Parts: sequence; C-alpha cells; structure tokens
Amino acid sequence: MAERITTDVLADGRLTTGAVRWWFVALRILVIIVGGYVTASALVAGSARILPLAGLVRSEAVALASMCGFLVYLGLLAWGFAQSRLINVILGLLLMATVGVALMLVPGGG
Amino acid sequence: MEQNLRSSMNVVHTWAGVVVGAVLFAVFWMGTLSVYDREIDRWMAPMTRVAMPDKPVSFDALRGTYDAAVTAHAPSWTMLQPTERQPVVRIVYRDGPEVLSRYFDPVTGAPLPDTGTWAGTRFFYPFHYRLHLKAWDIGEWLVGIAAMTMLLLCVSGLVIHRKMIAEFFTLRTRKKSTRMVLDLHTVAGVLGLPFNFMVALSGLVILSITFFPSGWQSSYPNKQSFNAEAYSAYTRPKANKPGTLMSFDVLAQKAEQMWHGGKPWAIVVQHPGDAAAFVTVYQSFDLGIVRSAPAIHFDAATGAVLHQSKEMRPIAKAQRFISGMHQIQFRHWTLRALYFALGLFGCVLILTGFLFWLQSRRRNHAAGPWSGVRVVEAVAISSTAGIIVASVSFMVINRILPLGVSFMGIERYALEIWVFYLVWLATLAHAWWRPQMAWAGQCRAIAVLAVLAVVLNWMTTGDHLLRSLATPHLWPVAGVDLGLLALASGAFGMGRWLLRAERPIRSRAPDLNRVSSHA
Repeated sequence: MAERITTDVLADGRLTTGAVRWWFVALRILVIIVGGYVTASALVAGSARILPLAGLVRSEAVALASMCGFLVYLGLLAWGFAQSRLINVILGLLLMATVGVALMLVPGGG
Repeated sequence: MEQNLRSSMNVVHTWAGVVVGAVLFAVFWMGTLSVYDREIDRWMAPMTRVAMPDKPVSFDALRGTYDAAVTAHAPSWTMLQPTERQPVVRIVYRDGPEVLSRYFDPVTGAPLPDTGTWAGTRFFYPFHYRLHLKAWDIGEWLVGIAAMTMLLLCVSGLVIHRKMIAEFFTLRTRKKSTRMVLDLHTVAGVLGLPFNFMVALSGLVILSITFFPSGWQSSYPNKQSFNAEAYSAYTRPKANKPGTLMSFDVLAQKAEQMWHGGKPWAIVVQHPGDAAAFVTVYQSFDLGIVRSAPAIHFDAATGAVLHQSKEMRPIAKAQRFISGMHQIQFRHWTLRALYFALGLFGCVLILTGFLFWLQSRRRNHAAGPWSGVRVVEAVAISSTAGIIVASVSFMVINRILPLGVSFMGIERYALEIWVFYLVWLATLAHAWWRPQMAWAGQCRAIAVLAVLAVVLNWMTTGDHLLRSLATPHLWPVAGVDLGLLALASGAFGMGRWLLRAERPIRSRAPDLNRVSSHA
C-alpha cells in the first residue's frame, strides 16, 4: 500500500507495470537531486560573475552566491518533488541552468 | 493541487528521512557531544584537570617543542595558551603522517603525560563533520548531503503539518503508542524547527566554498587567491634555506601593542626552520560570535610585520558570523547549554521519526528474513541507540585502559577507537538477530555503561561527584558525570517505555493467526 502511494506520487501516473515504475522513480529522484545540484551550481557561478556589476567586490560576490546556493538548491529540490510530471522538472531545470550559464557570459562581470 | 503538494511532500519527508536518518542521527549526536568537546577532553584525560592559571607560562618557555618540530620537518607549529575551557598549553605539529598534539602544564611549562586518547576534540568533533572518512573528502560530502536533506525535511515537514500551533500543544501519552511517537516527533520538530534549520544551514555555510566550487571557479584561478582576497589570509612559499627565529614573547608583545592591549592567545609558525618562516600571532576566538580572530603575521627572523588582518567586508563577515553561530567558540555558558539541549531534541526528532515509520509498517509487512522493514529496523536501532552505546563504551574503555598500553602494535588511542567501532558493529548484529529485544536491550546497555563510566571515573581518578562539584576547576568533570547519569536514567526510562509500548504491537500478528486457525 505504502509503496503504491509512493510510486504514484513520484512517478508519472501513466506508467503502471512494477519494474518500469521503479526505474522511473529512480530516474526522477536522480534528475531532481543531481540536476538540481548542477542547476544550483550554474546559478551560483552566474551570480558570482554578475553581482560585481551591481557594485559588489568580487570576493563578496563569490561568498554571497555560494552561501545562497544552498537555499536555491533547497528551493529546486522542493519544487522538483512537488511537480507531477518529470518532463516539467527537466525543462524547468534546463531553463534555469541556461540562465546561470548565460549570466556567466555577460561581458564585464567579475 | 494543495492536496497533491501535501501528499508529495509527505512521501519526500518519509523516504528522505528513512534513507538519510542514520547519517543524520550520527551527525546530530556527535555534534551535540561536540558542544562540550573540551569538557569531555578533560574527563577523558585526567592529567589535564588543572586550574586556570592567573599568569600562564610564556610563549618562549616551550621553544624546545619548536626545535623538535624543525627536526621533524613539520609544515607548521602551533602553540595555544590556556583558556577557560582548556586550561592547559597545547602544542600541535605534524611528524611525518602523524599529528602530535601535546599538553603542557600552564604554570611550569612541564610536559603532561601523553593523554593516549582522541577524546572529544579529536574523535567526537571530527566525526560530527566528516565521519572520520578523509579519503576524497567523502565524509564532508556525506555530512553535507545529510544537512541538505535536513533542510528538505524541515520544509516538507512544515508543509505536512500546517496546523503547527494546535499540534504544538498536543501530546497524547495515554493513547496508542504510535500516536504518542508521532506527537513527540511533531512537537520536537516544531519546537526545534528554527534551531534545526539554522544549524543545518550554518553547517553548510561553513563549507560553502567546498560545496559550491563553481562560485570561486567562475572568478578566481584557485581557492587560495579567493581566500586571500575574501578573508585576508596570508601565506608565502618556502625558501628551502635554513633560517633563524626571533623570541616569541617579543613578537607577542609587539602584537599586543599593535592591538592596543588585545591579548595574544595563539602562535602559529609556518615553515619552521626555513628562511621564509613566518610567525602569526592570533587573538582568542572566544570573544565574539564571528569565527575569526585578529591576526598579525611577522617575519620569523627579523620580526618585521608582513601582513595584518584587516576588518572583513560585510558578506565575508556575515559568512564568519554564521559559521560562528554553528561552531560556538564564544564564551557563553547559558547559550552553550541551550545548544546542547536543542541538539538532544534533534536526536529525539530523528529517533521518533524512525520509530513512527517502523510502527506504522511492522504490522502490514510479513517478517521475511530480508524484508525492508527488518533492514530499516536493524539500521535504525544501531544508528540511534547503537551509536550511543558505542560512544559511552568509548568513555568506559578510556577509564579502563592504563596509560601507555598497546595491543598488537595498536596504540592506546587507537584501541579506544577500535572499541567504539566494534561495539557499534555489535549493536548492528544484535539489532539484526534480536530485533524484538534490541531497542529495550540497548537502552538498558546505555544505562548500565553510563553508570559504569561514572563509577570508573571515581575509582581511577578519585574525582567523585561530591569532590568535583566542590572544586570549581573540576566542574567540567562534574558536568560530564552528571550528563552520563542523566543519560543513564533517560535510557532506563526509555527502555521500560519501549518494552511496554512494543509488546502489544509485536504480539498482534501471532494473535490474529491463532484466531483464524480456531475459526
């Protein structure tokens, strides 16, 4: 019973057979945890580069971005697990990671 | 939508808790002990139970150990003057792969006998932040993952229990034991929420540069150049030529003048014996929350000032403030006690989380030899009750082994650590083979061992409670003794309650079988 509810919430509702369902749950957890960390890292790197444009000293920008990284990652984890469709998680993470990388390429950053 | 959110957070809370609970309990338990690590040091190393001197020995009095460090080609040499929490002089340097940490009498400067133990500061404290797994920093990363999971557990727990205020006043002790376990879990979670969130986040912030290397990688060629700029860390390379060294006391006096009376507390020499050696004089860390002390770097041969630490910029200072909130090196006994109590509360939170998970599943699951419930139960028992049994055994064996003893080439301090891990392993085996009896049995083991530790401390040092309570410089010893006695009575009570609460649940399944076979 407990497993049923778990997999229904964690996996997309459409998949029904046991083994496939568990693989799907594992994939989903992996995407959220690893993808969330990579995305948070990209946002940390991006904001560490962009914050000096707002007047922050370079070392202060790095310190601030790294500290905020944990809260960003926490937000991504909570958001990822609350989503009902895996594809939304993947697209959302990709979008945010792209923003992070784009910030790194802004000319004149720290 | 809201219902969906709550159920998904419920699933996350349940499974994240079960998977990471064991590591999380170890981190919380060891962290709670680390709040009083130096007091545990004094309990486990009786030769350091001395009174804080009015005028400690001079820095130059221990110059002999510096010369030893030069001979050993140590990369650095550190001398710490006595403090209220550690009233002995401490010298630390590396001899080959081994870190030598020696204590000296604070008045005469005479060496104290080798303590033969890693005690609180070298065993419990590093266990707390890296589980003694140094290879590739695995330990630090595992603890980091556990802390991140703690944050997620706090958030998901909040979403599940929105009616916090009402639940805060709810403790149904007389009803079913599952209700009581869940209520305890909720009360501990709600009451401890600010602390648990703060302590997990601040622990991560201490190592933010390690956990998010992308930050400095995007802006700096290496970590050192970031640290130099952000925290005005100073270093210079070795010259690989022999060099001389000035008087430590002259440098300490010079630093005191430059600080307008700020007291020097520690001296660190980098590259001992080298021409590029430099001496750093630090003020004490225990004056404020910010985990950073004013420092002046001198040239070892000439005494010229090479670098003086500047006032940090706001965010760097904030980072050190948050680190300081976690590491509580400041002098404040009331706050220290509060951290200890809240740490224990965190342990109760994790324990009741495990218990609730087990109680609500045991009945529905067949007790097969490799059933998930049985595995989780064995891991849960040994990672909660078991680690406490092992910790108290570590303190008991410390009072039994004579100084200087070794066994099959294993030194005394390592023997103590072997006992810790073997006892811990034994609690896992016990939990696996006798799950019915393990919770209550290990609680009783804690109670017996804790009382034994107090008795052994009395027998081996003569510092029984009446004496240690009457002697101010033995109050830390009295505190550890009283803590052990409190642990013993708590564990005894818990053991009895578990035995009573578990019996009806355990026996239900066989009862049903009997009814059906009669029918």
